[in-house]
Amino acid sequence: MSIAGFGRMAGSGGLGARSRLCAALVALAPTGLLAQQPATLTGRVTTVAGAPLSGAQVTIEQLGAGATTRGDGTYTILIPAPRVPTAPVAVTARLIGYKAKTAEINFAGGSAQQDFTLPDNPLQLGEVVVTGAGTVSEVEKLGTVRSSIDSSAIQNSAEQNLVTALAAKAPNVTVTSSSGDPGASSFIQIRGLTTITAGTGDGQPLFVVDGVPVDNGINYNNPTNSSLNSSAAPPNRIIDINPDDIENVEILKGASSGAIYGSRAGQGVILITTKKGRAGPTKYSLRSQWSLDQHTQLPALQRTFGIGTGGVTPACVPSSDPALANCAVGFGAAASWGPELASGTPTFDHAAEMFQTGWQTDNALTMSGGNDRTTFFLSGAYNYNRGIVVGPNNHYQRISVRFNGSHRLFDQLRVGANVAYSSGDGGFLTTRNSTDGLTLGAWRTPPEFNNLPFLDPVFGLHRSYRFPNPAPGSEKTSRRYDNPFFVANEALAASEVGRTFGGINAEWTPLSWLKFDYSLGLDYANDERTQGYPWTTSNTTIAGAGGVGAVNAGYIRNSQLDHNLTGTLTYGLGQNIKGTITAGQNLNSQTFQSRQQLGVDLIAPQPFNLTNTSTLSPPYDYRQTIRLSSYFLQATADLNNSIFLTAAIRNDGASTFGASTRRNWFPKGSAAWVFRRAEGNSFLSYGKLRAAYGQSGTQPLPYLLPSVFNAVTITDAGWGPAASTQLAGVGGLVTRYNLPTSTLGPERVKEFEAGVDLGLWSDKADLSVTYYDQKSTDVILNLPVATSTGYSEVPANAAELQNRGWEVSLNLRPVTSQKFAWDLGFQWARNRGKTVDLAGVQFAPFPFSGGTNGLTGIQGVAIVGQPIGVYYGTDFVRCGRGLVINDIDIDHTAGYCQGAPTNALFIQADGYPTIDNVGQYVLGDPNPDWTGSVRTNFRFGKVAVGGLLDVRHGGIAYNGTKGALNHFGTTIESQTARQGPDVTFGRDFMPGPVAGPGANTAVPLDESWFTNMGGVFNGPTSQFLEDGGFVKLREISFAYTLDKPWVSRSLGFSSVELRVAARNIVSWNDYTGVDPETSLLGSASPVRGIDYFNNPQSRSFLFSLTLNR
Amino acid sequence: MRNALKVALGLALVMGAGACSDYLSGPGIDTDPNNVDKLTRPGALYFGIQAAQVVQREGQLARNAVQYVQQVSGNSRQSIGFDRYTTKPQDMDTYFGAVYGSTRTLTGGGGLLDVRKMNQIARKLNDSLYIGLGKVYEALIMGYAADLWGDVPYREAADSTNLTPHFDPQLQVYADVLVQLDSAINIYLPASSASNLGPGQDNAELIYKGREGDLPLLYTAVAHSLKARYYMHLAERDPSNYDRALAEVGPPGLNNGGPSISNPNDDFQWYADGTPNGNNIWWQFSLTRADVAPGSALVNIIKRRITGGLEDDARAIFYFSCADCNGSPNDFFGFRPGGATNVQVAPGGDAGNGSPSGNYSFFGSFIDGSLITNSSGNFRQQELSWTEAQLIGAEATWHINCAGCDPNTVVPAAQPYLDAVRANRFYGTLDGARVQFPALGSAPASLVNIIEEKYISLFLNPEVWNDYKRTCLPALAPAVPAGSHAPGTAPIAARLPYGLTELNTNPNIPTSTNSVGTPITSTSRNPNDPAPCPVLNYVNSTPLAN
Repeated sequence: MSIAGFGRMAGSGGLGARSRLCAALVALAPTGLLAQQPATLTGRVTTVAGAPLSGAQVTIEQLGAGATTRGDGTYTILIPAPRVPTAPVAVTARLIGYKAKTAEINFAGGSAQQDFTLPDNPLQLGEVVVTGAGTVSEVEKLGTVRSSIDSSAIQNSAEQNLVTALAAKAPNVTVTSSSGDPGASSFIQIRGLTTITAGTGDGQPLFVVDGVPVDNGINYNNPTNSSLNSSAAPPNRIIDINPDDIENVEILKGASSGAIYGSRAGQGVILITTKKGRAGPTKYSLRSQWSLDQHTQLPALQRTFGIGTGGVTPACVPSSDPALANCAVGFGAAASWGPELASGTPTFDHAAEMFQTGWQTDNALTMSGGNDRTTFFLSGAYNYNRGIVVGPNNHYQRISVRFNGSHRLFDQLRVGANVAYSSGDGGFLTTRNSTDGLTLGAWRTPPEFNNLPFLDPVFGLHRSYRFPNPAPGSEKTSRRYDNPFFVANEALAASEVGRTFGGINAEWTPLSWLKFDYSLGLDYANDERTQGYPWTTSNTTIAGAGGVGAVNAGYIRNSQLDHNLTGTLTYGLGQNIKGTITAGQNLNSQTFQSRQQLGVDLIAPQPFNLTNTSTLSPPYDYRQTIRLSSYFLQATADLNNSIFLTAAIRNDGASTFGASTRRNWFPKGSAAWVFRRAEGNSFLSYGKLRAAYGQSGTQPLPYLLPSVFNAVTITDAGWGPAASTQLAGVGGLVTRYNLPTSTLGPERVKEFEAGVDLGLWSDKADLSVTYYDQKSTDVILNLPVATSTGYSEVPANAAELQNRGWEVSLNLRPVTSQKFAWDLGFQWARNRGKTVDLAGVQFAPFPFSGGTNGLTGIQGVAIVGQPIGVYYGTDFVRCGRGLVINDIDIDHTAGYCQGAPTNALFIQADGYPTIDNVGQYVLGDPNPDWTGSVRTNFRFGKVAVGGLLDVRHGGIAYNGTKGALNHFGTTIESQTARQGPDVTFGRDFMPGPVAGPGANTAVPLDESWFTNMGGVFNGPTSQFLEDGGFVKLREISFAYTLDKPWVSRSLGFSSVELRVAARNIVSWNDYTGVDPETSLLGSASPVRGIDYFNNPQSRSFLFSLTLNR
Repeated sequence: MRNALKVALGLALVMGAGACSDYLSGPGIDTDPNNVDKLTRPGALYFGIQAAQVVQREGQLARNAVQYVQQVSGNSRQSIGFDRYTTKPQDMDTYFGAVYGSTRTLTGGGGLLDVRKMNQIARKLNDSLYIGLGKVYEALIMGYAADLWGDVPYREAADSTNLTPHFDPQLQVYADVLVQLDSAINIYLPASSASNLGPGQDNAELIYKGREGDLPLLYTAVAHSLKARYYMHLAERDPSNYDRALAEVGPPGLNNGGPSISNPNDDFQWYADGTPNGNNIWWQFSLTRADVAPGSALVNIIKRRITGGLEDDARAIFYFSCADCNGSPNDFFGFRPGGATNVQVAPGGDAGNGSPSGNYSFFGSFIDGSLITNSSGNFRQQELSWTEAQLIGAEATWHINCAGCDPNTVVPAAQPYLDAVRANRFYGTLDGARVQFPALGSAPASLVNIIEEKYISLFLNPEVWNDYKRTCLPALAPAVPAGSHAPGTAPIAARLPYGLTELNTNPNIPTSTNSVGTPITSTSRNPNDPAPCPVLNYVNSTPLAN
């Protein structure tokens, strides 16, 4: 065995120290550089069709020289006289998406000229991709499926949030944006749910930027002060990255590809590579984009019946007591079950009235360039999004700068720095399950009540439909439900984030076969939060704030320090076997700290400052540190340039693991066999089979193991009221809920993946098919323990989940001529998740998926044998469940369910069904049956037209909004029902089999029905499930590029691109609420589709102008 | 060689940087920097127990109890369902758990587990005062659990080494807590001395703050009051407990010398103050949810008694308020149970409460945070009071002297107890001052009058549900069922379902049909309450008895 290159270096190894120095200098000016005149290499790089290729890199590696092609495809490399070679040297032209070409150039005659024609490289063969933790691979050698998204796809999505921009870009990468609000969070899920409690991974992939893990968490304000489902929703923090800075996103989908990140890769890894400078003339690009945003679909509200109950308008009695004069109490004053409005009564569009046309401006300037030793990339961007809700508190702004520089100190040593600063300031709206939220009050408002003006014209006081006549004395009285315009104008939820991320890196190549890479990265964010609840607020979640207002202020600090060192040895065993061995070490430290203070009872209406409150609660103070110490080893072997093997193992030690399970191994292995490489015309131009196996994991949350005492507020289980253990200046403690335990290790995802990548019709098409089989074992479960133990749960590595699926992508390039090009991309994916084992637990709720942290009545759970994350909740009484109703065993009683089909709806004697108070049931699966997308681009000359269709087929969504509005009588459904004839359950309403003494009895669907069984508060959850599938036109664009010589001559730019586009233009779905792409708790929740007064999505129409030089 | 050096240097870099052995452990790294993990004094737990129990006594459990006996009515959202006895195991999950410990939702804590932990520390310190107090609170917590759920885990509960505690029979739980109270009364509280620093040392007394020096005496009286209460809970099964209860109460009258609480100044009242999470829980619920309103039964009983000369206006206008009553309780209208809209007979002029104008009453400002701005929410509710003790004395005397009599029978022996309470009407503490109503004259000492007096006096105290279960007084018609306009046929609920987690995890949960977490039906009764109450009916949408 000999190590490749070792022999060559052995020759120089015999040199003395002086000679070594000389050798180094020679490396700077290679032997044979004898010419005395500078030389120039010029040329043009084009496609096979003859179209110029801009941005292609032309390099003479031997000289360390290079240039980037201009808009017309031309390039110029200037070689200083001392370095002009006399011998022929290799010149290579490269551009992502095209196959590299190399030519030999002789500078014997001085300057030279070389054109390149680069064939398309749709399979991106030969391109080097990062595979994580400092390792790289050529695409061809990957044993796993590659999902890569380039900068143009991200930019064209025109999304402020990178995660949202990834929607419909890769098979089985499902993105759910929580709403269309500026800065709204988005949840990304790859290949199904692999964890239940989410652990430190937040249930989302690990995000790594230029090799450094970064935070993508979502931090709500102090959760003990406000429920997650009822406060303003902040962004997921990847929003701090300017999408314009991104060169490429690689998605490591499963354990087989992400194992190199060990216990942090259980939900996959998103590798983000930012743009870098390239040798050549400095390039400038200024992109200016402006968009108009509108809300998308909204629930339909009735405008026929007015305020009241039982058809009667409530009496509001003049009184010296302001509350009594304002219909504040009583259902009749809250609901729209009053009389039919007289003809001509003005009514108002409460569904849409608080929305406006928002706008967004996005300006980004990038500069990049460098020479053979030093490159730089510099960017600055300003993004501002004025939201679609009226008022000043609905916006998000990001200012970001980035410097990415690299300098080759010596031939063997390159150092670099990549530093970005991002300032993200947002104003958010209190929404969702909030009586002081935007839509809850708005959509419950009776149609005849005009929410404008929201301030009483005489006294300037907040007026709402449940408090229509504010008078002096009511300045600090709750309005029960806030007027939506008041929310939009007066309630403050601000976040000011300053975030720095980046680091330094170095690449040392002491020997040609040995390379060391080092990176020291930092991610530090400080998030200053201020939430202001004004006087008259209807807030019900913060104790003592109702009416009198409150301020919650504080900061959230998040930092991560990452040290990653790898050594890579390149070896060769003869001509046909070669490869690399990489050893690495990683140290990572994450700290999180949050301090927040709540003050209630504003002394004066403004400002929202803690000093302006009369009562301060005990402050919230939390900190955590998570440390990780890892080693990894990866070996690759290329056999005959057709079989590519990779094996790796990582050992993780984490502070979150129990002392006895402190270190854990994560192996992986893959094989790829390229069985076909054909030049020229061929049906099967390329073929690769691949298979891989790997394990990755998820760390437990810190500090779960011991028994500790909490100084907390004891709540009344979600009803709002709470008692503090800190009273009268004294503090008490109570035991925390978790049973103490001593062992807890990582969750483990074991994945087998296999697939085939084909190039067809001479690469006019490519097809990739992948199958994976994933098993998540040791999944951490908060095992419920009998509450009579004094504890309610114990964390344990107990559960097992399974995800299996297929991923198919097909790209067609039927036309690729210089004048006209058309390509089409299809993606299709299916994931079937199943809960295999829950250690005997009947069901395990996903955190923040409904239930006590979201809504009562429904939650996403794991249940053995069911899809992961199914909705679980209450149902009507049905036959075949062994129920006893009013002491009658209905299944075995004639006239009841005896003889009726299983699950027949049980109808009571009064003709109505009733709720099953005994059990909870699996109600539906929010996971789609399959997902897919269709992408197409036409280019005709300088005109390009593109579109992206996103399909999510199946998956149930929970329309709790409708359930609540039914109760209050503001839905269209409640209107038509009360106007319509009596209905017979099973036939006219809730069609299906029925049984029971009242079966086939016609009954009215009236207020009594909707406030009881037909509403969300007392009726079963099951009736509010709807199809959450959709087909969405995500993107459509029209672009024109001006790159004629006159552009350069007269304007000074190499090219100008004009682009008109739209995003989220239309969604075809059967959901009756807001867009079914919604999530009550945004990226905090792994279970999608739960809708309870969620804000709508937005669509945008945008125009951009890009100036390149 | 030099190459080898480079390789060695590189490998040293790779491997050496992680050589720090303590990188993964240490304070704040693998130990929790945010929470206390060791206690050496019992004070913090004692304080936590007192603070946490407020939620159990003024929160959802209390709402359930007083909604069932129609002092209060749910008039919106889920509370309407609770009126109709549709409380489900999931509704009870955290509250059942809070008897023992806490849950992720931050409900509970300060239950049996913390009492036992506190006692463990107290025993190490040989602080008999804390031990005695721990026993009183243990009896308070577990007796309440037995009231609500019947058979509950007790002897094997709150022990992390036993994950499936057995359920103890309800009567045994009562017997056990009575033993605990005797132990506190006879051994630990009297034994406290200067060496027993107790809560005074720790500044940990919340209920009798400022009277730390009197804690042994005060809690001895509390323990006797609790004993009297629990003996009453056992009396339906064994009438000899009336005698035991009476013995705990002592003679009638103010400053009767005990042994139960002998003066309203010594009443055990839950702490509340003007801070947001220190507010009375009823007040907070009213402020934030307003889903409950005065119950028509209580309102109507008070009105009837005013008309009959048995009651004045004072309590009514303190308990309630209304839009158009002009200060006259005659215009008060409460909500019928089961949701106002459900029992409406004819549209117009009746918001479900019989009010001719469609109006309704509100709670008084002492627990209605929404009515008066700048209200402080500091109302302290009485849990165990001289009033309750005297009315126990009245009822026990009535039964001892007239077992099996018609409830309207007047028993003169009970008169002094009833008269003492009517002459000294105290109700909680508002803004730091005891709430006192003017003295009332004598009322005939019938069981009906005694229980109605207690029903009114103990407004919002869950104990009134126990009184109803024992005496079926006041006469109440059950709520109408959901989605129906027909009168209710199911009797008023007599127990609560177990919590869902306990149902799912503890195989020892009783399986008898009247104990499991099945819907509350006519057969769902606790062992101490074998006799069901009659199912009364509505007539013209007005409860018969009211």
